[in-house]
Order: sequence, then C-alpha cells, then structure tokens
Amino acid sequence: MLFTIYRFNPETDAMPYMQEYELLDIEPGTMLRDALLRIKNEQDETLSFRHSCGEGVCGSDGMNINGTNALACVSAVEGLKEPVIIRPLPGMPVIRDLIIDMTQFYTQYRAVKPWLIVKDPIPDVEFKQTPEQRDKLDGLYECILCGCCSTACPSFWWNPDKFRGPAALLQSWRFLSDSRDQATAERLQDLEGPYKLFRCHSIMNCVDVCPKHLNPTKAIGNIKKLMLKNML
Amino acid sequence: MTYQAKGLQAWLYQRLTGAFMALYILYFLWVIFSTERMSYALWLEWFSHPLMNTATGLFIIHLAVHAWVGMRDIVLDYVSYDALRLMMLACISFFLIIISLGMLRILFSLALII
Repeated sequence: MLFTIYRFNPETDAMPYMQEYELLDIEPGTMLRDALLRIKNEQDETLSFRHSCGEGVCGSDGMNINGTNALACVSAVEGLKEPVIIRPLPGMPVIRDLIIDMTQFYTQYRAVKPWLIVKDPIPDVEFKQTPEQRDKLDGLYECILCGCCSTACPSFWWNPDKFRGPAALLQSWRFLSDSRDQATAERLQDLEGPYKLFRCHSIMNCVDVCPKHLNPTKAIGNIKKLMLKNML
Repeated sequence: MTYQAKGLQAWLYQRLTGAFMALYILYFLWVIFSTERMSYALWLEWFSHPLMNTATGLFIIHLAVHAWVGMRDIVLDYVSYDALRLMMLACISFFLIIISLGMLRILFSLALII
C-alpha cells in the first residue's frame, strides 16, 4: 500500500515536501496509526507524529488523511484511496512532519473559561443535578480536544487569533448549558462582537470531521439563540 | 451599523431582513405567475399602489442591509490588512447606498405619477 506523507524538519529543510513510502503485507484491521508506526520502525525513523492511547480517546494523532481531518488510530487503512496522502492538520504552524503547534487552539479553548464558575458558596458535599439537567451535557462533554474540527474550519484558518473555533465554542456551550454554572451573562458578553462567535457561518465542516460525532455547529446555534433570548 | 457592529446585532439583522425579503419574493413571484398578461400599465398600477410601493421601498432597504452584513462577513473573513479592509468596507457601503437611493428614487417617482 502506498503512502505519501508530508515531511518537514525546520532544522534541515527549507521547504516542506511529500515523501512516498510503501507498506507490504498489511494485516486486515490495521489502523493508520499502526501503519505509520510500521513505517517509522521499519523504514524511516525520522518520521514524526504524535500518538498515545491508540483508541480514539486521547486525541493526539489528529491529521489530514486524503484531505479529511481524522484520528489516525481510529481510521482503518482498508478502503483508503491510494496513495494515502497524509498531511498535518491544516492551517496551523508545523513543528515537524505531522506535528503541529496547537498553541493557538489551546489559547482559544482557555479563553472560553472551560470550567464551572460558581458565585454562591460551594456546597459542603456535592453539587446536585437532576438527571434531566445532566442529560443536557451529553454530546458536549465528550470532546477530546484533538483539534480536527477547528483545523477543518475556514473561519478558524482566516482568523485563528480572533475566532474561538468550533472546539472552544462547543465547550463554551457545555458550560453555558450546565445547571451548576452561574456565569451565563459574563460568558455571553465575552462572546459578543463580530469575531469570537459570529465568524461561524454554519458550513458544518466541524460536524463532518469530529471523530467523536459531536455537533459544534448545533452548539454554536444554541449560543446564538441564548444570546437572542437574553437580549429580548 | 458600523464596522464595529456587534456580532449578534448584525446576525439578527441578516436573518430578519432575509425573512422579510423571502416573503416579498414569494408574493412577487405569486403575482407574476398568476397574472395572465403582465403589461406595463398593469405593472405601473401594481407598483404605484401605496402598500406595494412601501413594501418595495422596505425591500430595497432590507436588501442593502442584508448585502452589507454579507459583504462585511466576506471582508472580515478574507481581507486581513486593516487599511484595505476599511477601504473595501467604505466602497461597499458607498455602492449600496448609491444603488439603494437610485432604486428608491425610481420607486417614489412611480408614486408621484398616479
């Protein structure tokens, strides 16, 4: 099976280039991460990429596979069009090969204050939620911050320093819809302006690529609706 | 609405103007297709009616606002140099204002004919 992989080492290369590799005897059920590890172990130990858990939980090995962002560890090589073209997640600075600098992504994530803000005295034992209140967090808390969504979003490519991006906005809605959080007004106020939230034009690239099948576009729509409700 | 228009405000304007224009266009098409022979006289009478005249005037204003928000979105997305951005926004505003005033002038001249 043929692989064409983006290579760039800032210490030795002036420009990035694409390098071809061929893997023979691929076992059924092989995931792309396994294939990359085989290339690294058997053919080229300089090939660099992030990976960790190997089962779609840690979110380390997000990459662009044949033009679509995905996690290599849960993408089966079987059925991929050859040569399999692998690039780093688009729109972000490349540190080396498939490793990108996620600073911008985390900065935007941190900016939505992804933690509970409680103004009342904190209860002695625990916060209580009804099952219905807890259900509202389903489809929101599962995000693993792999970055596939934000780096598939053209609005994030054009304004990564100003637009929060789908991943951060999904988390913003996760805390806005949490019955225990008491900073709704401040959170909404923080998102005002033409950039932070409203660069989203609902093209749903984020929904298309999310390996956890979450829906940031819907969350962003909900934030807009809540803003509108608060305004009226 | 200025360059610094609040995000929610612009977003809301775009939706409200879009909804009004959709209704207007549906009504417009319905009349066009349900009228057997549309003549200049009929057309003139239709657009000179105070209700239609006002609705069309509102449509032109809504169109300008809608186009402004959309064009502003494109500029904010794709033009990153401040000076160029400001110039483009100014040109777009100027174009939309001139073209809207032109259309409104034609429209009001109809109201004066009758």
